[in-house]
Amino acid sequence: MKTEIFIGKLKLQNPVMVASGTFGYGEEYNRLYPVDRLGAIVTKSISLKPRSGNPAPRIYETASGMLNAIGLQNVGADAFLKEKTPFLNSLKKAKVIVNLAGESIEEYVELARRMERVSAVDGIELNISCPNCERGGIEFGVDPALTAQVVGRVRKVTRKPLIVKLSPNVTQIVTIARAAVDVGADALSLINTVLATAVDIRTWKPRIATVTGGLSGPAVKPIALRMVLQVHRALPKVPLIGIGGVTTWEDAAEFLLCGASAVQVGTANYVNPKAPLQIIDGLSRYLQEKKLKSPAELVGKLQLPGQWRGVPQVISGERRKK
Amino acid sequence: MIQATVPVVFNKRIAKDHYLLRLKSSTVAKKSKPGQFVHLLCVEKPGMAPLLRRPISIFDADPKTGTIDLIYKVMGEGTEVLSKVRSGAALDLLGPLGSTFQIPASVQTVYLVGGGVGIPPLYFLAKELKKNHRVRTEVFLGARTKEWVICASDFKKLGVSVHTATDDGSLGHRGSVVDLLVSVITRETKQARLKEKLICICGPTRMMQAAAAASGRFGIPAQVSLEERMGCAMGVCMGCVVEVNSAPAGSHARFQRVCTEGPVFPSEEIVWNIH
Repeated sequence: MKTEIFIGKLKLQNPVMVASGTFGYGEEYNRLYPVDRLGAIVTKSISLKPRSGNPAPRIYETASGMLNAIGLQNVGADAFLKEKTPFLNSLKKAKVIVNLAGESIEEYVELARRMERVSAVDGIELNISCPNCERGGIEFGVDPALTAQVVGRVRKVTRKPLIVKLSPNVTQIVTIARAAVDVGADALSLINTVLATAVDIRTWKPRIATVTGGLSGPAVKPIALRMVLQVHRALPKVPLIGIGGVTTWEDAAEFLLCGASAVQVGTANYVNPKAPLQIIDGLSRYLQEKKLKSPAELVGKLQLPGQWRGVPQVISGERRKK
Repeated sequence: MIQATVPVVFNKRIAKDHYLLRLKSSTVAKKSKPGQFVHLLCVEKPGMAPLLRRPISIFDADPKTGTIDLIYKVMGEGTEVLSKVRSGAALDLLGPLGSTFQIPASVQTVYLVGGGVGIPPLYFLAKELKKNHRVRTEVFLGARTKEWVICASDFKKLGVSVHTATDDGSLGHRGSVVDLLVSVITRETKQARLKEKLICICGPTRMMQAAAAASGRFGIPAQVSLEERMGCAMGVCMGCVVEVNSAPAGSHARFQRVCTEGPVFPSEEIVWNIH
């Protein structure tokens, strides 16, 4: 049995990645286990200039989930290239995907251009779905025309595998997915966090300084699964990376069955730092038990009822065949 | 720093809503320093409520027996679950984490100012200071009411002098522990040799802010140990930040991580923000 899987032309040693913003630049968790065992590391979002992020409080725990509104605090592209790439370059097996966050199309393009010749970088994930920034981010990811513009422009300056990270905060995810793929996205990762809030009834104030934040963790997994299923049915040839509450290998298997070729582990890193390793091993055992030759044999194998016509049309954005 | 599942030696109630938890981990016991904390998983199955770990400061560490002691107050779901853990069980811990109190060689007097459940990490510090006979330690303990003035007898056993204050006057001075600190320092600092003094503070934000302000008025350096809701405690999620004035506004270092650069900060760096 092989554990490798392809995301377009990018070959991962296993289908388990770690999600942007939950894993720094890899070094931190390498103190606890060899992160070179991962399929891929997706870096914390990198912006062109350093960003100070949002005021505190930035996080709040909710039922089976958490809200965050970090606001993309990061060291910026210069410091990333200088300080963070040496470690990433030392990884032999795990792929490195840089997550890029711009405030304008020009910034996304400039960021992608600067990563093009960096050998540590195996691929790009475009963050057009951060719900916690004033400019950029989600602004692009909720509008198919803007999605097409930013992805198309970035495509022109990079030959690296280009993954576009989608926001769930839309009515028709397939429309956005199609817009990204039509202009050259190699793969899609979904979902980013769900825009949400929580209230302190003692003080009558929001729990998060910026009032709203992004919900992540097991609470969002069913939403993420539904969206992966929808996009996979509409665009069966496009490699998908499932994100949203992946905590155990069983969660990862669910995502693969719905059509994801790989998963990203996010919030679970905080709860159980070794969760990605346990998922890798658990998935591998499961494939063996099922006598499958590779994880690809699970992808999209969800057994749907014959008469199922897809999610309601207003949500799917797809015309049904009569 | 390690992640490990470690045995619970005991977990017992020591005061109203307060528990003393002893865990067996020789690595953590050896590496822990005053001011540091551990990040504890308070559930059996990850993904179940409550989801995230809970950061708890270290009250004591004994490298000889390979144990660490934590004192926590039942505040919500996580600590409620923790309070029900029995001896013989095991807990998943990450630690020791964070910065430590820094005692410059010039310091001869250290004032420890603790409020409520902020008191325990100061005991660990007092114990370390006691090993250095040159340093005199004075402890100021404050709480809402006498049942919550914890660890007073532990400090007394170390032989340090203890001053107490309660909001309701049920024990010691009636009113703020900071007022008590101010009156003692005023009495002692006539021939001010400020560099020989240090104030170490841990407690509710308002109390720490008032104590930090008092230290500023006296010109005595102070260190504060902060508390924030935490995600990873590994320095990656940037969730537990505090605003500092040592980095310019807009700089990526303007918000520092309580889990990594903290929890102990020089008090003059903190931009106090009550939330």
